[in-house]
Amino acid sequence: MVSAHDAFTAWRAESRRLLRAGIPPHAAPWDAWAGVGGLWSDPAPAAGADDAPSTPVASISPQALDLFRLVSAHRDPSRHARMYGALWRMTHGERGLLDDAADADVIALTRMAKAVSRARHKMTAFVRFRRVGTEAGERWIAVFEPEHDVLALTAPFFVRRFATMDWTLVTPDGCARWDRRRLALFAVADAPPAPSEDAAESLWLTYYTSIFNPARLNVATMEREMPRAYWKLLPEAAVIPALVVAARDARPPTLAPIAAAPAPGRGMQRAAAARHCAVAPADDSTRDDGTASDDLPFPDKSRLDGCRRCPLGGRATQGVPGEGPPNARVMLVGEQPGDEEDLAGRPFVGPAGKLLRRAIAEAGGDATTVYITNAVKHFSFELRGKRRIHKTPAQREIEACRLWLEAEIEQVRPVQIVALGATALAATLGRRVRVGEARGTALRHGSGAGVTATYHPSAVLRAPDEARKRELYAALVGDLRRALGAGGED
Amino acid sequence: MNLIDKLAVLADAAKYDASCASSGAAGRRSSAQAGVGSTTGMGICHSYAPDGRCISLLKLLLTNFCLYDCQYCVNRRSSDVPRARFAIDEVVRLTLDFYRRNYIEGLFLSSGIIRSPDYTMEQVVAVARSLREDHDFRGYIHLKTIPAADERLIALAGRYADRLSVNLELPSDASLSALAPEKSSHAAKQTMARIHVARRQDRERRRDARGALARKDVAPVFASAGQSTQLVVGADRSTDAAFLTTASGLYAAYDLKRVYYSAFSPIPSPSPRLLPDAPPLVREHRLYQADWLMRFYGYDAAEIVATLPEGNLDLDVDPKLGWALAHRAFFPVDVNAAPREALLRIPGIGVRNVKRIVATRRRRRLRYADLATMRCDLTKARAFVVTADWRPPHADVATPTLRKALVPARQASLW
Repeated sequence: MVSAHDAFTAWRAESRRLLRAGIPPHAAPWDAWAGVGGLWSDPAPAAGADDAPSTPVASISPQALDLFRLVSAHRDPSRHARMYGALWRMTHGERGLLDDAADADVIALTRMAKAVSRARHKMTAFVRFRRVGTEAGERWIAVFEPEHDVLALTAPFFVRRFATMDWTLVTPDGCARWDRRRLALFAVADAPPAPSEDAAESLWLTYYTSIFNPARLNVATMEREMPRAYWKLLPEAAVIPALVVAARDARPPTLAPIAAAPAPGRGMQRAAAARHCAVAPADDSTRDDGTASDDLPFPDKSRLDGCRRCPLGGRATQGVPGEGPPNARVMLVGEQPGDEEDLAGRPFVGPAGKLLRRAIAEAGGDATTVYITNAVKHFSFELRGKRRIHKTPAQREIEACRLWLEAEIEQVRPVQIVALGATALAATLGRRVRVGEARGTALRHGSGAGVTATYHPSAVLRAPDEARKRELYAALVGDLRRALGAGGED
Repeated sequence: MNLIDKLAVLADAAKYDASCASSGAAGRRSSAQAGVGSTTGMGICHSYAPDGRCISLLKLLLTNFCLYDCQYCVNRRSSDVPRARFAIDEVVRLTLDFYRRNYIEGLFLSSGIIRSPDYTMEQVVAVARSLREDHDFRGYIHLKTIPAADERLIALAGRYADRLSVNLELPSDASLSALAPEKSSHAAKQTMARIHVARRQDRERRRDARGALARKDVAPVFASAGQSTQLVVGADRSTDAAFLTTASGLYAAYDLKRVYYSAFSPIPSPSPRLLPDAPPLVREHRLYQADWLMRFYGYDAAEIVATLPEGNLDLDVDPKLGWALAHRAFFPVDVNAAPREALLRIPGIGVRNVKRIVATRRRRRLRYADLATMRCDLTKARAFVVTADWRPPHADVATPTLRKALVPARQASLW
C-alpha cells in the first residue's frame, strides 16, 4: 500500500535507479506507474525492487524537490513521466531549468504543482466537521473529496489547528485520524460511519444567508472560488439556489433622489475654500467664522482638531496644542509638528524635541517650567512614496495659524518668547526676518514680551557636518540661556 | 429573542463591511495540551456567498443599536431595522462552535455605538478577552476599534486581536459632516495613529527583548496583522481622486495594511440624502486596481489622479492601461532590457510575470511567444512591449484609436 507521500518516495527511488542506469525519459517505463497514487492503491511496480534505502545519484535544488513532492500528488497519470523528464534535464546540463519560466516542462510541472496546492488549500477551507457524542467523549468527523491526492499533505494542518479534538477525515483515497496524540492514516474500508447532521449547522446556514448581500449577486465568482464539485459536501451549498433565485427576483429598494451631499471635485474644494475660516466649534459659544482678526479663543485640543482655517487641518492626524504651565514666564515657539508629533498629538516629542530638552537643561533651565508650542499647529507634509516628508508651511498657513499663537500668548502672557527658526520668528513678529540677522538683537512682541530669535533644533540635526552642528548647538544653548535668564529676572 | 434570530439580525447588520481578510497574523498553533486554533499568516476563505465574496470570518455586530445617525449606514439611529444585542458569551460560543467545525478562521467583531465609545469598546474587547483567556482560542480575531475610545482599551484590543480597524467611511471632512455628523475624520485618524504608534513600540520592545528574554516571555504581538480601514464608495459624490489621495495618505501616515473600498449598497429604509444608484461595483473594482498599483507597482496616487480628467477612474479601462495610454512616450518597454520598475508599468503584465521575465532573461533573450507561454495578457501588452522578435507597429496609431482597440468590448479590431 502506497500513500501519496510514499508514492513520492517510491518515485524518487525508481527515478534514481533509472538515472543510475542512464535510461533517458523516452525509454523509461513510467506507463506501468499510471495506477500509482491514491493513498491505498497497489504497490508501485518498482518499490522494493531496488536496493533500499536508495542512495542519491545526483543533486537537485530544494525548489525542485518541493515541486516534485507536490506534483506527485496530482491525479494526472502522466505525472511520473513528466517529473522524470524534467529530472533528466536537470541532471544533464540544465541544473537551473526551473529558472526558465517559459520552458514547456517547467510550465507544465508548475501548473500541476499549483493545482495540487490549490486542492490542498481548498481542503483546509471546505472540510466541515460534524460532532459525534460518544461514551468516550466527543469525536469530530468530516467527509471530503479533494481534487487531488492531498490527504497526507493536508492532515498536518488539521493537527496544528485542532490538536485538542479527536477528529477523523474521510476521503475516497483514505482516512486520517488524530486522536490527540498521533496521526494515523488508514484505508477507507475502516472509515467510521459519517454523521448525517450537526447541531450547529442551522446556525451556520443562518449566518451564510444573512451575510450574503443580494444587491451584489455574483454567481460566477462564487463558482470559480468554490467550484460546484465541492458543493455536495458543504452544508451551506443547500441554500445557494434559493438565495440566488430570491436575489434575482428581488427589485432593489427604491431610493429617494439625492439632496444634500457635497458637490464634486473642484466644486467641493471651492466650497471648502469659501469656508476656509470655519473653525469647528468646541462648544456652541465658540466663534466659528474667524472673521474677527484679533481674538480667537485659546487653542485647546478640540478647537485645533476641528480647525480648517487652512488645508493642513484636513490632511493631518490632529491639531497639536502647546504644552506647559499656563502661566509660564518663557514660551518656546517651534515651526510645526513633525511626523512623530502628529501621531502623538504632543509638541516636540521627536528627535528635535529630545535635542531641545537637552539644550534647555544645558542652558540651566527646566523644560517643565516653560511653555512649548508651534507657530503652525498641524503637520505640513508631502507624500513621497509611502512616507510623509516634512514640508515648510506656506506663508498663508503661517498666517492662518498666527491668530492661534496670538491667543496662546494672550493667555499665557510670557515675559520672554523664544522663536525657534524662521517660521516661528515670522509668526511671532508678524514679518519675515532672517534668524541670522535677528539673533542677539532686542526684539519685542506686541504684548510687550521680549523675543529671542534662535535656530530651530532641527537645523542642528540637519547641519551638514560636525563642526557646523556643534556651532549651531552652542548658539542655541547660548540663546536659550539668555532668554531663560531674562524670563527669570523680570 | 433567541440566538438564531439575533444571529440573523446581527450578521445582516455586519455585511456592509467589506473586510474579511484573515491573513497576516503571527503564526500560532494549538498543541495537544491546550488551545484551539491556528494561524499561518495566510488567510483561508472557508466559503463564498452568492455575491462572490469570501466568508473567512464570523463577521458580526455585537449590537446594531446605535447612537449615531450616519446616513449611509443601515444601523443608523433613524433607520427602521430590527434591533438585537448579543450577550458576550453568545458571541464567544458561536465563534468556538463555528471554528471547531472548520466553518471559519475566526471572528470579526464590530458594534453600533451604545452608551459611549468607551462602553462599546469595553464590550467588544470583553468578547476577545474571553476567547483568548477563558478558551485559549488561537484563531484569528479582527476587532473594529471605536474612534475616540480610550487608549487603554485600544491597548487591550491590540493585545487580543490580530487585526484592528477604524473605518473612515468617507474621504473628506465635507462628506463626513454632511452624512455622518457625529463622526469626525480626526477622531478616526487619531485612533489609527494610536494603533500605529502602539505597533511600532511593540516592535521596538520585541527587538530589545530579543535574546534577553525567552520567546515565550514576550507578550503576544500587538495587532500582528496590522490595521485597515474602509471607505464607502458611491454614497455621495466624492471622486475617485479624493478616495485615492486619502488612501495614499493613510497608507503613508499609519502604515495601513489595507484600505477597503465598499460600493455603497442600497439599504433598507434609506436616507433621502443618499445617491439612488445601484452599488457601483465596477467603480469599486477600479479603485481596488488603482490601490493595487499604489501598493505593489510603485505608482504614486498623484500620478494616477493626474490622468483622471473628471477626477474619476475610467470604468472601461483599467487604471494601469489608462496610465499607459496617457503616457505613450514611456513605451514601448523592452522586456529584455528595461528595469523592473518599467516592466511593472506594462499593461497586461503583472508582478508575478515581471518576476518570471527578470529570472528568465538572465538565461536568454525573451521572445514574444515566451510572454504568451507565461500567460501575459498580450491583447493589452502587445502594443507596449518590445521582445527579441517583436516591435509594436502602433507607434503612429492615435491614442483614441488605440484605446478603442484595447477596450475589451471592441477587442483587437485594429489588428
